[in-house]
Amino acid sequence: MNDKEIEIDLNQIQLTPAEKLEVAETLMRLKKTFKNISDEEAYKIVVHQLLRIGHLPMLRQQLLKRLKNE
Amino acid sequence: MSKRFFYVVCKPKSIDDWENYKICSFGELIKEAGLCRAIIAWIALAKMDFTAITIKPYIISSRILTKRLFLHEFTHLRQQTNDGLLKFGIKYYWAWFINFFFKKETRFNLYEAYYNIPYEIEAYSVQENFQV
Repeated sequence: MNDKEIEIDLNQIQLTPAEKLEVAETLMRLKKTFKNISDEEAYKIVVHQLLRIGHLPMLRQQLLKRLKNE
Repeated sequence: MSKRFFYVVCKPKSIDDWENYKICSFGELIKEAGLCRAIIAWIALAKMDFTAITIKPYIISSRILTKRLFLHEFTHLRQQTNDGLLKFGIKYYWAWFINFFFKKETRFNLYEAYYNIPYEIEAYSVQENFQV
């Protein structure tokens, strides 16, 4: 499969309140496991994984639009 | 974006135990749940993008557990306890096979074949009956 990389500005991500809660809860628990990673890296891991399994539909749509335009 | 993958692992003792989970790396998952379960979870979650998998006595997920997701997976745990893990596995995949290849209404439809597995019908009905 030919994966296409896409850069995301973490400050530009729009999440619903429920998604924000899930990301915050996941981040909190993730930091307990991966103690030596930065906040930014942890945030990337969480957003990437949730996107993959289809749980950030708004962001997914934004990214698909961008991919089509590029 | 990051290529790292984490696993949410829960070993519930009862139906109220849904917040008792932790986040693991793959190495920790092997230590916690054993190599076989860890490999199956890796294939299902990290490679096939499933949300969660239940292999008695563990629920392993790629996102934190919500009550609804937990209830769904806990139903599979109960089914595995009642039928035994081997019988559950055989009946589960046999039902999917029949749905996908032979049942007129669900033929060649991955999702419909999955949603019409009797174990899944029960699990979704438990999940849907949960009121927030």
